[in-house]
Amino acid sequence: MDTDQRSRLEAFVEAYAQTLGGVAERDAEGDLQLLDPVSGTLRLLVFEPEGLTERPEAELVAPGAAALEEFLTHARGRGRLSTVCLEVPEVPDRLVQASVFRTLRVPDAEIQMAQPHRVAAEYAICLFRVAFVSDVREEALLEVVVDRSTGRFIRRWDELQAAGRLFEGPLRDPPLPGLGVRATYEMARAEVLRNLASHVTQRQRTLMEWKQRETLRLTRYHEELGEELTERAEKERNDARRQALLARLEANRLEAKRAAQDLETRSALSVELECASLLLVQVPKALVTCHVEHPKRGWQAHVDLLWNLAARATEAVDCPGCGQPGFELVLRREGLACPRCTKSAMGK
Amino acid sequence: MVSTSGAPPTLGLSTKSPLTEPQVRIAGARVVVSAQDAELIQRAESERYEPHEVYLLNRQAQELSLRPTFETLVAPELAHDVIPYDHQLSTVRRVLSRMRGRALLCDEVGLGKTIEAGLILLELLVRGLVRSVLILTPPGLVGQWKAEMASKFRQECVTSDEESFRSEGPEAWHRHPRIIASLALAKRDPHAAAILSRGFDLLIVDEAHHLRNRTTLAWQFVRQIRTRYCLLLTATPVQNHLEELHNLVSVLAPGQIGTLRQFRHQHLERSDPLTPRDPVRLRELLAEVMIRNRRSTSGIRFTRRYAATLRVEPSAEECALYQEVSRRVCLRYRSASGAQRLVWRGLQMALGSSPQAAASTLRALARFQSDPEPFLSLASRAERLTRPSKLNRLIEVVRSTGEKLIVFTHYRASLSAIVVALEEAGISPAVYHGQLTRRQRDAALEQFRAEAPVLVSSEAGSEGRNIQFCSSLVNFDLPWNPMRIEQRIGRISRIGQTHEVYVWNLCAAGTLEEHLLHLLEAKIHLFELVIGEIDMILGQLEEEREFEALLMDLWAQAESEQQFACSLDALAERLNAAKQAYLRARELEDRLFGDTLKA
Repeated sequence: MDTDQRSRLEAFVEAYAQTLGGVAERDAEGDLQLLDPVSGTLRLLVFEPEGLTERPEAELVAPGAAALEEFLTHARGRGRLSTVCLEVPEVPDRLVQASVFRTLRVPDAEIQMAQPHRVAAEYAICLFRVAFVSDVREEALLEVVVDRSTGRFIRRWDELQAAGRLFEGPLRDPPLPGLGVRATYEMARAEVLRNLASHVTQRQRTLMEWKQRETLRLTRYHEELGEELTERAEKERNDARRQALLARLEANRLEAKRAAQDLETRSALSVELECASLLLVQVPKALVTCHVEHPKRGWQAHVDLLWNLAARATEAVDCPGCGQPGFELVLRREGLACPRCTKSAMGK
Repeated sequence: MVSTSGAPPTLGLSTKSPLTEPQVRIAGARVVVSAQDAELIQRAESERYEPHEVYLLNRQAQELSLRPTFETLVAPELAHDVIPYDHQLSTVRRVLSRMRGRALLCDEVGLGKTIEAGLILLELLVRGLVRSVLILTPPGLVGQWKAEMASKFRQECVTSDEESFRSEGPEAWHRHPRIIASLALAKRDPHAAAILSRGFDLLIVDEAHHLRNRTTLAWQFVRQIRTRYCLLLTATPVQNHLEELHNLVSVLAPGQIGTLRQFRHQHLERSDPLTPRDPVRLRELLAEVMIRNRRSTSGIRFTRRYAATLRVEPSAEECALYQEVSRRVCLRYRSASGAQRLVWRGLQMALGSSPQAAASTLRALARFQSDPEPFLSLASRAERLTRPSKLNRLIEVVRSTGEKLIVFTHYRASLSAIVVALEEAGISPAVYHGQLTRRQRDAALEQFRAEAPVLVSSEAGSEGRNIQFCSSLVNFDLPWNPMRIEQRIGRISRIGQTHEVYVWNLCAAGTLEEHLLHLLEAKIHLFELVIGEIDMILGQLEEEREFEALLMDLWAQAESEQQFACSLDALAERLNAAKQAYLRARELEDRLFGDTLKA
């Protein structure tokens, strides 16, 4: 086991003990003694197989070893759902307003902005565990982040998270309304399935090619062998020997059937999908209400924009007509719309 | 969020949506959504959160429990005392991914087919792809496989030799998930019927050249075993006829090279049963089921080895003790059977190591004798021989070489005597044996690397340790099994060794070991063989007894030293014939397969 891997496992077992109410301590030999938080028993753990030779009473913690599998299974059954707030540095209102002013474009209109006020949007960090199962099993983790207030996918959650600090505590800002948990989950799951399509297609293609090759090989083999045996049985004058050949012929037929069934099972691919965990993160945003007015024609409208304090950027606004997000709106008598909707309406 | 008046912001998104389990298929593959997702969503809706630190632990666990593709192997992390070579890792990956777990492993000797098979087995076990395993070997290798599975791969297997297994009758084959059995036993009813009625997830057949002949019971039996994964291990898949290759492949992948009739028609030259009609096409077909790594392509190069026998004239007291104990052992051995024979063999081996080792064994044996006195008396005589001639010679060697030396001995009592003798001679050795803790072992090797001129070591525990900074070793005593000798040499004659390797064999004149050494060195040139070759040669012997047992039998049956020498000459002839057969097979396989079947 390389040093990094060993450190990761040691860190995990220590976190396991600490988080779930057990105790992990080094003994005089440098091995880990664990007061198991689940069973309440004292267990001696070593991280190298060699350690077992010296201390046969110890349990090995290594990938695939029983003790580690037990800890992992238990830890995976806990902590699947949690909620935290993202704390980010404050940004003065005037900077928020200036940023919004620079970003939002409403040609021929005058924009007036109200004082920004803080709100909290909820991001859902959905971690999916995917297993590709055929005669082998391969697993992957896929994370999908949904901004429940906008219904949009967040692509660079790691960067946003790094801009602040996650803490557990009461919500400081009024929450924005958003997608329900089920709708969020379904949206995330649909995204995962979209992302999986190419992986599955690739695996399926490989499996099918293999299956075709194998089927061809086995069919040819059994057919050819069957013909050989039939031919020999027909020519055979000795009854006992002919019966033996016929028995082999029957065995060949059964083997062909069994091989085909086996191949069918081995080449069937399925995908197991599980939402392994869900973290709901309150992300601070500034809500900026803009009053938009056409100075000559007197048309007016309001638009609410969100300025993301973690991303330090204005978020695109949905067009009320088509729902497409963008930063440019056109003011007409009927209200605001994106340039494409406006153009389309003018064409009618 | 756009409004045309001062209305409050509404997102227009549904907050209620039914959680439906999709009957989804992607590219024809069925997608199964975990039933636990619904429970998770319900908990989220009722805001039953857990602390963030528990969530973080879950994330850690999710990542650590991931079973990646076969590109990232798990088994090497779990194997003990195994540092796999690159070609072994490539083989494991190739067998698991491209060959889908069915392969003919035909590496040249010494490249570690057993390690490859063990890693594949472990990888499949860990990933939950395999639960039941059957390992079929020649009778003499059952114990070795069990030991290696336990020590290197931490897999407890039951063997068909064990009394408990035998007492269960044929039902035993159904009760145990991991079984090591001799092919000779397994192929016979009622065992064969029991095996064929259940099937195993993984079948490993070691020394699979025993399946080269399709008319044998062994071939027909193995061919019928139901198994998803199958590994056939042999360094010599062909010996007399290319059809042997067809027979082996047919066990693994029927039809891969056609039916026998097609194979004869398409691949065999009528004039020469060992020459393929279209070698390139045959290799292409074989490459899908067969791997043959060669030393020349695996990057494994060994530096030259030199061996020398240091014959020591024992003192009169040593001679007398040796003869007295040997006489008693011989008598007892002839009338003993089974486990008792092992005991007397053990005493004879200890006697060949040192009087101290003999004394220790004699005292242990005395406890089980109705009349312990003769044993205790001999033990006392042995203990008085504090400075046997071999020790003096060893000190001379240490002083004269000026190089770092490993001194191997099988016995703790000999090890202690060597340490004392060296220290009395002003030489401070590092000491390494199986009873040391890991830290003590690390410290001993570091002491040897940094300052100590000598490492006195037992055989236990140093496998997998890098001690290639040393290139000389002394066999203070000689294991009777040539493979054990090879393992000792393998500690320093391995990858990373840049110097020529020197092996000194200490032996006292007139002992069994002197004859053995003569056989191994002068007759079959053991010390010039590549690691693993002796295994092949012994495998070709068609001898069911282990080499130690064979040797002891010959020694005990001989009425005189001369007669024993004659028996060994006959054995040498058999060994040489086996060696020639092996060399011919190797040459043939080089010609047939070349470098095209490497992993």
